[in-house]
Amino acid sequence: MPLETFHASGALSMGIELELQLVGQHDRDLASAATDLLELTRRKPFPGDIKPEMTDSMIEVATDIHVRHDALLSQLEAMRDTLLDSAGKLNVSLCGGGTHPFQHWYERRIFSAPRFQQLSGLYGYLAKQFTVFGQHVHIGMPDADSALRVLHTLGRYVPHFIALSASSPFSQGSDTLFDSARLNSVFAFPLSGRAPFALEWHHFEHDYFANMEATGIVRSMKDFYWDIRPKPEYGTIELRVCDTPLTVGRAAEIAVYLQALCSSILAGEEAGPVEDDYLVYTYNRFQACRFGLDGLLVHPRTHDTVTLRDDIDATLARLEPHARLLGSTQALDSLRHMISADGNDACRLRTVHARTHNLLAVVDEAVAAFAQ
Amino acid sequence: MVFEAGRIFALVGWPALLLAAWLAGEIAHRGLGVPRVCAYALAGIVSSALADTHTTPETAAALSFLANFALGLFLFELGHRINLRWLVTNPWILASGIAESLLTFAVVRWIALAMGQPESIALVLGALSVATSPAALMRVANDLRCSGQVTERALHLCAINCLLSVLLMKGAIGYWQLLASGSLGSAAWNSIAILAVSVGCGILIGIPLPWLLRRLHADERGVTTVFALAVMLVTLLTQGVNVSPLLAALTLGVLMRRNRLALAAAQRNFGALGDLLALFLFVYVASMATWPSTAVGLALAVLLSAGRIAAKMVATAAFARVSGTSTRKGALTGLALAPLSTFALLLLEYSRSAGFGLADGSLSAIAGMVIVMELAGPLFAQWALMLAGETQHKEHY
Repeated sequence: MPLETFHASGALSMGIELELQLVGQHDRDLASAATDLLELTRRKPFPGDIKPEMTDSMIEVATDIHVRHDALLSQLEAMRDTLLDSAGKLNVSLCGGGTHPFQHWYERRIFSAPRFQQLSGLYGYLAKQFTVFGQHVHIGMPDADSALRVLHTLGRYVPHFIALSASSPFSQGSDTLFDSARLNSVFAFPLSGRAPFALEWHHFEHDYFANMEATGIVRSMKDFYWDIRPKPEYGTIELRVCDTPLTVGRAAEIAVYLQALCSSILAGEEAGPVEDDYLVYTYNRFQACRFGLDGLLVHPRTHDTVTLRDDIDATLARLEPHARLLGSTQALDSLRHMISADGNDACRLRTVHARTHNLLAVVDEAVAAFAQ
Repeated sequence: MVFEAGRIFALVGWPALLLAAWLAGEIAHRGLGVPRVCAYALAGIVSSALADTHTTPETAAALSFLANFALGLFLFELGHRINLRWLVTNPWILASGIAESLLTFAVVRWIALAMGQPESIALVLGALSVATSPAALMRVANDLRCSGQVTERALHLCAINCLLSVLLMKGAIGYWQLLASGSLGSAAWNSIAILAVSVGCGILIGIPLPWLLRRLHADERGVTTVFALAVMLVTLLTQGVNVSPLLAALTLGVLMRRNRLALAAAQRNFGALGDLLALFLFVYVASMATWPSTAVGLALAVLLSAGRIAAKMVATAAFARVSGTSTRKGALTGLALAPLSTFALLLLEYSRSAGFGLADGSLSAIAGMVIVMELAGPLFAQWALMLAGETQHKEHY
């Protein structure tokens, strides 16, 4: 199957996909409730898109295409309220968070659909270990070459999104000491990592994708689990490094931060990407996963070291004019407040654990946060 | 000290029997895919047929206490799983539980009457048929690591029907008392007092427990041990004042659930202690049941069982869609409720010891039904949960 043509879409339009946890009421462990929840929500029109995911303790919801923060947030809230209403009828709770703190991966059941069963057959236990929950953000691009340019320029900012959304400090019953342990599950897949460096769509299509396809390893863009990947059928680039935040409000803020960054890049405010920018990529990414906002970034060009907190703060300040135009000033202010005051969701969960020494209470906090 | 060899040898049979039952359970589960509890029950039935299980009154009392304690652990676990708030957010669950219980009561009573049983026995049969065995249902669900709507609903309906069964049973006995004494007040008082004192005993133990555990910073094993001891305490306390140890254990479980965030999680099913006591419970209860002596008795048992399951399936299916699931899953929930409560026999034992002559008369009829459902009930429950796709698949990598 050749690569689809890149359908240009409204520049800077955006959409969010959120993978959510289905949690049992009595033990706060993951509950196999996706089938029942999907059945119940489909009885009435759902204010967005809803579909199953790899294992039957997770569901994925997606918004329509939006341009403004307020409309995006309203739709996220409407979807959340509908989901909570249905989940209440089934004695199931819903929450965000990149990992479930104490579920055992081997107890998960692969959702009964051919694609997931096939992936489970291919990836073995990795498929069940992939019971992790992420937020994907799509941003519309005016054309294919711009999409690749923005994608590679964003490489330097990938740690920002990891640190801002990090909400997976616990995994398999232990504190991992990572702010985002979820991404460690993603690294295990052979086609994860970063996109190959190509700045022109026809090079990407003919020199890379066609050759990969000829090897028989991949059939479509879906088979790549890159941190950012182009999505030609939607005419977007898709950022996939974020944990699902604990609240839909944070999810919307992160999306409009990406939107403002893309706006700045498209306006030519950033130096064009070069392949050597990726020399520090994996290291910076690790710092963000491990230390969150306290992680140390090495700038790819100047080689200066700066904390992620300071770098994000400076970037947010710089993006103010774009935020004003896009109507997202309030959302970006909220992010600035978060990084200077409360810390990210991983901090929030660790605080609860430090107080209670109980991972059930951590899940309870996530459940309460999602309903806020 | 006198060496009482005779008494020791009289009891040696039990561990041997339990070991044999455990082996049979493993073979049944791993080899045949049959619930372990079916094999335990079979071992009990075979042992009572082969050997004279007549024991001294002291031994019988000790065994009965142990059985009540084991059942108390299951009810505690069940209480721990019950989310009372769910019954408020989705009142159709409560409605379907009440409908399912009342329909079962009516259908079984009607069949018993139609088969020529007297009204008093038909009432007791109806009341006892309402309850699903929390022990068998939880055992099957836990053995297969079930999770989903059918499991969730079956467990909640089980708690509701156990409670209603106890009330209906007291009502039936009250009715008999009414006939005997002519005092309506005494009959009503009997039911209400037993309910209140049972729940009160649970609360009495349940209130100070979390405080104690928190102060001790008890870990998983500590919490499990203390919970088990608390269940033992309420069992003794309630047996002492002649009220329902099972309601007290259920209350205790519900109370502990409210404190779960502050406590370390107890081991699932009380760990190996729970396994051992469950093994004993199923063997013991089955060894008390006797096969119906006549073909008519067996036919009655089968007919009552069939009517009971049909009533449960019809009621749960009828309320399925309105309560948020499919009609198919509703019907499967009813089927999962098939295991007949082992406490039917314990209740009878208790009623007899409480001095109600009525229970003796219905013992043979109910014993037949118990024995049929001891073997078939867990199989039906397993079948329902498998058809609902809520069991763990065996996957080989």
